[in-house]
Amino acid sequence: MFIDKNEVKRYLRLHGGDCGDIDELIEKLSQKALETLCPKSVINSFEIEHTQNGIVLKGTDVSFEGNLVKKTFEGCDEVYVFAATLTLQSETLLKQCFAKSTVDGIVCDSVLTTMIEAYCDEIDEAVVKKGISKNKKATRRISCGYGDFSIKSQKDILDLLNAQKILGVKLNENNMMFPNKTVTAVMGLAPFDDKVTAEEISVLKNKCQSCCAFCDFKR
Amino acid sequence: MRKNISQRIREGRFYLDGGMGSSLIAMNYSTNGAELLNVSHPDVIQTIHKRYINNGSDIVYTNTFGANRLKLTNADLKTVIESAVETARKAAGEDKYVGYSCGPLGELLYPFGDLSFNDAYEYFKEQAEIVQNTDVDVVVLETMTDLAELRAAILAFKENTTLPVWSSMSFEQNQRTYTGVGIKSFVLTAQGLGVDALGFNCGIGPDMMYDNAKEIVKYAAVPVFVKPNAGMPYIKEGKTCYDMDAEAFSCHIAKIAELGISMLGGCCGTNEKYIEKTVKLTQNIPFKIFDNEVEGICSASKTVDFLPTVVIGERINPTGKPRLKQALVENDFDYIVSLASEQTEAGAQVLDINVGLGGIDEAAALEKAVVSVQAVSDLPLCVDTGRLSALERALRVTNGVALINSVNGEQKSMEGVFPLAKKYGAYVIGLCLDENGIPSTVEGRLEIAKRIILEAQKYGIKKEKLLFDALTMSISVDDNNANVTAETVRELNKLGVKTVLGLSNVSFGLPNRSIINGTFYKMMTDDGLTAVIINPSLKPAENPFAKDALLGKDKGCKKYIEKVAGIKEEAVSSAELTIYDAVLKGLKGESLALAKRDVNKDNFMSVIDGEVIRALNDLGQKYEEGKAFLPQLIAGAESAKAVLDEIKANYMSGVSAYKATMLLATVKGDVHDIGKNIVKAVLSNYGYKIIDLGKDVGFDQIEQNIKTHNPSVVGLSALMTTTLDNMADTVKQIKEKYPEIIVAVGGAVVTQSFADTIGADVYSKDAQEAVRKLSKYFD
Repeated sequence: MFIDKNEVKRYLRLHGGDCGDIDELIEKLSQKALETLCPKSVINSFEIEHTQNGIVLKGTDVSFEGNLVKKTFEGCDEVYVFAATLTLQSETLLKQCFAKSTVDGIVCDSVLTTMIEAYCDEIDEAVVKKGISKNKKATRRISCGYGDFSIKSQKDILDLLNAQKILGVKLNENNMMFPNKTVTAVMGLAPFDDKVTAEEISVLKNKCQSCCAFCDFKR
Repeated sequence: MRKNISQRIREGRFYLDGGMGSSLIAMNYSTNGAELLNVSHPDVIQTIHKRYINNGSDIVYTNTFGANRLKLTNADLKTVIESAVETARKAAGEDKYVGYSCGPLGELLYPFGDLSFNDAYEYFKEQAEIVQNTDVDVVVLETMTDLAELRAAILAFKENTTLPVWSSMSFEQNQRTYTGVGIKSFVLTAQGLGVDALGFNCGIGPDMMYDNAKEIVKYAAVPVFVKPNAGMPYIKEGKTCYDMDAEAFSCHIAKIAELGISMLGGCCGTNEKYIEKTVKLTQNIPFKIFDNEVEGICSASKTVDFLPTVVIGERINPTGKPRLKQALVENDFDYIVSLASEQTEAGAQVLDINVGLGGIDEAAALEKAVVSVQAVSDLPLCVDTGRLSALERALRVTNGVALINSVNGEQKSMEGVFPLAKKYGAYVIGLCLDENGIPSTVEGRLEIAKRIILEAQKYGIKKEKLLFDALTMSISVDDNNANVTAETVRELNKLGVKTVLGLSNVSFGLPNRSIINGTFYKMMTDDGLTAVIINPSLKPAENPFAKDALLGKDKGCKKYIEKVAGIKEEAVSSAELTIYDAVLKGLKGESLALAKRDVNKDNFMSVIDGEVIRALNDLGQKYEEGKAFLPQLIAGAESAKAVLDEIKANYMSGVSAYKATMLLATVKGDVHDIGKNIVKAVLSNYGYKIIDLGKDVGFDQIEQNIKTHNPSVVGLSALMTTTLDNMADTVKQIKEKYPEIIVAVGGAVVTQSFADTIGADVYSKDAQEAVRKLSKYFD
């Protein structure tokens, strides 16, 4: 896995400029994170049915609703749902860094955010490949809590995957996951349509461009 | 009729049962609250047990994995547990064994969650008291992933039952549990607490468990068991399934059996067929009862095995440290944690924790210090106290195997310390002194060491668990003092015991102490000293004048003083730097060193205003202009804090240096606290006393703290749109009940207009703006 230093800097809002010491710290903490942490994930696929409000996962009583869901999974006949976590050891690492200094703490936080995203990218790529083997194209991944995809789906997603047991992820009453560096996401697969161009796929894959959420970190 | 179980498991291969939950699912029962089936459907549970007994299991585990108060909130635990045991006994009969299965509580212990060690203990104790009066042969603690929780459970069952205890953790393929516990730490800790067998269950299948099994047999000194899953889980038609059939399972577990592991069974996904095949394939494989003599102290994730020379960080000790004294009086455990962190960075392998200070509750403070330090440090701890009550409280919560500092040759000391060392499996530092003081001769000190060794044996503590402190006295008092210490160390080494020195005493009363200390450190390391208690930034060095003084060749240390006194100790790297520069550049170490060198009782106020605050303001302005970035801002804030702390501790004791008290919290439901931590780091330099309540904080907790601390400001942060309602709610409640308190809000999703809508007094987009806006109220 690769932790992209530029991504870390984006989370830290370091817009260029000379940040010699910080560069070094990012490097050091990235190395430490890669050495100490062993990310875990669980994934499963479901055939879907489209409804007026969104999609229903066949064989379960789970549905995902909203415009983001509808738009993203248009034309899809199955979705992959996954949960990925940097495990509790990421919480320990973060605590250790904050104990050392707030600077270490916030840099570590950004490193870990970059790392969990990189890990999700790996899972994402695997789904894309899976799609290709089935002669299907993959959508970008979306997560509940963004746009109008309600965060209330978090419990359904974790239950679907038995992630609370398999990954040890906890959910609080506001649907916040713990460890904090945990992500759940849904990707769709649609039968390949000759009309889809490479350009369109890249738009589909761009995490920021097609997201309607207001966010400080938008590229 | 069955034999005593502890005897039986040492005499022959011993088969455990397989999964309970998966058997229930196969029979179309939910595993949610499965323990209630003990009362409602005992026949079902008995059928499952019976299948295992009929297929070769020597023991069945009761269906009580989650029979605790946290999981079964409203159930009658006594009835659930008693029915479970009764059902298992019916299936096992008088010839086979019944194990009481006890799983994790289902809530995370501190520091991962909110559950305290002592509360966890109470939940396990409740079960233990019921189990003691039932017909079970052994207690099996299963599927643990947190060493603290396992320790709480072992202690609860050891203290409240007379039953043998087996303990089992779930390791992943990377040889760590989910919370990061290492295999060696698990073995050292569980064996230290006196478990009768240990092993692995759940998490992975027998194929992946093989390497972990290879590791555990290197350390175990008790029988070992494995209970793997039927491979890895996947979801099919909404149900969790496992990918390994009975045939493959038994082939893989047979390989584990070949490592000598005698007790075999299965966990999730396995059923009686898995056990039957396992029995067939492994019954003739020879097994071992392990008796490794592995040494070491440990934390949950790190072990230290006393290869010379182990560095024990001495800095968490208030003697001669006004800032630490102040922190202890003010209950400021963050400061203690920062000392732990600094020493870890400087190369300490173990941290000594001493909080002995008149006027505070030492037992409570030591427990809190241990809990706080191990929340952020992964180093093993050396619990340093002369008070037995404090020692026991600290040992209870020390997560791993501790080192006790210390026992001495006085009978009363040994009678107090050794029972605790034995119970908690701790190592002990023995001081070569007794009620008559420190013997001046090598022989006198050795005589005491031998006495301590003999007395320890009476408690079943082997000499391998003792480290002897030969005691260091200053060479400024007697030229021969270092020689006696060094010779005692060499003689102790000949006795085959470990040695330790708190060696900085050797230079007491002399100039440039670090030169003598470094030289003595080098000399003693060369002599094979096992461990040293020092400031870990001190490194071994050799100075010829110091060496002569230490060897007693320099009468009255005259030559040393003459030659070395003039040498400036290397404290500040750049002579040109001012405090203003150092703070502006965010150089924490330099800032502190400069403060130590340049601040005095006459100029401290001008340093605060003219250098520290000026630098912060300039840095803040650069930040707002986009010429400096967040990490630089914070580095500056932390450097400023180091200087201000130094000034506060030395020149402002008793003076209130605060212009206002501020409570700071992330609102209920929200677990993001980065922004809040930044605000804290910056504001604390501008005269605000910050009480940080942490994250996920509701109004009740805030109100409680309003009553205790009487703050002028409450600062709230929220990062999720979903928790904005909680912020609105909290602000409303504060304003209704405490209209005089200024409420400041911020966070990624908070805006000025939202702040206005919910009635907050101040909105700031970042820490720097908070400084500016709050100054209108307080400057």
